[in-house]
Amino acid sequence: MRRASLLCGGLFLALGVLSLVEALRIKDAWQGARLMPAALGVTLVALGIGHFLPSMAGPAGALPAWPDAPARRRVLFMFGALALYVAGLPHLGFLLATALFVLILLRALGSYSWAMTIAITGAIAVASHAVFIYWLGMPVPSGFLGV
Amino acid sequence: METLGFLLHGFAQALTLQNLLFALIGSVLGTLVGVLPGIGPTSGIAILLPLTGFLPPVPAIIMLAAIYYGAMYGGSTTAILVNIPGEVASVVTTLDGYQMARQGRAGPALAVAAISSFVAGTLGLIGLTFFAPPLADMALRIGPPEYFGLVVLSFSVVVSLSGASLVKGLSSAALGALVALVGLDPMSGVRRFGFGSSDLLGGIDFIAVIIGLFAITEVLVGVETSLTAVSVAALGKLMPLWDELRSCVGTMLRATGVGFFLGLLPGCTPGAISFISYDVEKRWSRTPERFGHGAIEGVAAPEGANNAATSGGFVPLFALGLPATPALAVLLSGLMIYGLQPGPLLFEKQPEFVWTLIASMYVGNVMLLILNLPLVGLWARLCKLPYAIMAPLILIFSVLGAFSVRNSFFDVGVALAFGALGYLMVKLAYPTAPLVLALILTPMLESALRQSLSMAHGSPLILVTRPITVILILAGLALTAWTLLARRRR
Repeated sequence: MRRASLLCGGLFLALGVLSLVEALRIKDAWQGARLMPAALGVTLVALGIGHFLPSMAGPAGALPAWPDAPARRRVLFMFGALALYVAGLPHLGFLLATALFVLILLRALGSYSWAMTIAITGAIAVASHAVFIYWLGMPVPSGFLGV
Repeated sequence: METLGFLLHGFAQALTLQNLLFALIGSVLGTLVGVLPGIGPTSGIAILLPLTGFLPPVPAIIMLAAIYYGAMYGGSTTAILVNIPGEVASVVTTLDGYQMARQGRAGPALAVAAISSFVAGTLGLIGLTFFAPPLADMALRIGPPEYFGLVVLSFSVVVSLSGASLVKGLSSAALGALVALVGLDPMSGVRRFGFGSSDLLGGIDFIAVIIGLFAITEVLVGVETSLTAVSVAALGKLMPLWDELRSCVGTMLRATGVGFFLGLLPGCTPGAISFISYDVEKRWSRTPERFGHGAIEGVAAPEGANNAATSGGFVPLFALGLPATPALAVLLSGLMIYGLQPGPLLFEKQPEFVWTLIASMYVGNVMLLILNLPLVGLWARLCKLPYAIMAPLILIFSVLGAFSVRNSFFDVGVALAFGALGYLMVKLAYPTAPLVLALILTPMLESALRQSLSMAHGSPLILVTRPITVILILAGLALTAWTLLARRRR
């Protein structure tokens, strides 16, 4: 709790300094484009310092529990799968990337048979393609398959 | 009396069988597109706008109004069911609406959102009908210093949204303000916090941020806790209890007042207004601790204020051609195709057009209530869908929603980054609502402050010499002090 608070305090302090540096960098009058970055910089520095004062960081029991190792792995897996989906979209195209993404998540989160998994995957991928790409005409890259 | 005559003539136009049918089609399509997570009302109306192209002017206007109301209502459905606000104004609805859904009370949450939207929307329309011209005149007298006072007053909400630690709440708001400053300065064109990236020049888009902070974060939290469905509780009654509805009557009326009068001010966004309305309700309540944990008033207040603000927003839209929201801007462009020429003389020059439009908004509102209340059960059952299916659906919609903002993968990356940030904020007990509020208010604060300083040749004294500004700033300070004292007592 205390370590997290100090870490966050340091982060806000750094953001405050960054904002002040940006205000100094901008070539404009003080009541112009640099006004808000300067005011915000001072505020962030003050808030950063506030994190270092135990009396201001909030009640000790207020922090939710950190996930245990299996839960942490699940969160990282989900975020990683999402990042890979986004990275793969321009190359694989919406239909294929979405089908793979849904398939992986269904296998990881659900306990369906392969037949059921493939049926749900197909339904979600085709339906979302029909609604968003075909009907609403969203210009999502079509990838090497052209879909 | 003349007003009533014009309105009745408008109703005569709107209530023909053919026009009612177009109102129904507009409501259904608007709701369907609004319900699609990530699409939101602005894109929804833009997508459906060409559909009205083949119609004669009167049915086209009626269908447009119905699409608008349908899309606005649809946005709150996703906020309640899957924690994805379809638009800025629905962000506050997630605070209690999603909690209600998780408790198996999605039905009452959706129903009260529909009823509150209907009541406040209709009362707002009555205000629009009878007071539009004088109110537009009044809204014009509000200058930048008064806006500054109003934003200071709105910022006082941050303290009551701060949760257990004031420092964390304020830090969250400061982070939101920092994000809002990224990009080209709208007044001077100076690049701020650009770090040499061309993507950052256009700023960080609000929709991408809220998709990340709400939808992606929620999925990460759900996966961490091995959630099996959005709601594991039994699906209770689909309609709110009579006592709950009765307790929401005052809420709806207050929300209408807050929403309609603040909605009159061009630039005062429904996002900020729904936060203010939520805060008013929380302060009014004898049990404010229920808010954020599934209080039904926490759904009724922002939804009502949002719809009343929409009605109020039509006043500057008609009288000055100033749309208060992006969705209204798209609607305005559609109306202009059919000959609407906004301006102070609109009511005199095009009475038939305006009153038909106003009458069709009444019709659209009623149609929406009739259409949506029976659908509540269907939507609520979505909460029971296995999470293994719901999670990928939410994430696909999130990615598409973020992408659709500017057809850019940069915005999708922003949503991902804010998803991770939101998860860390949940784990470190930083409230996300102040971040969102500051993101909405900071551009308003900055432009009002700089315009005020410019009016006074750089002197800040202008902020303490205009009576309305002083009253608003003092009210903001008083509310902050009140909240701080209440916190200390707790």
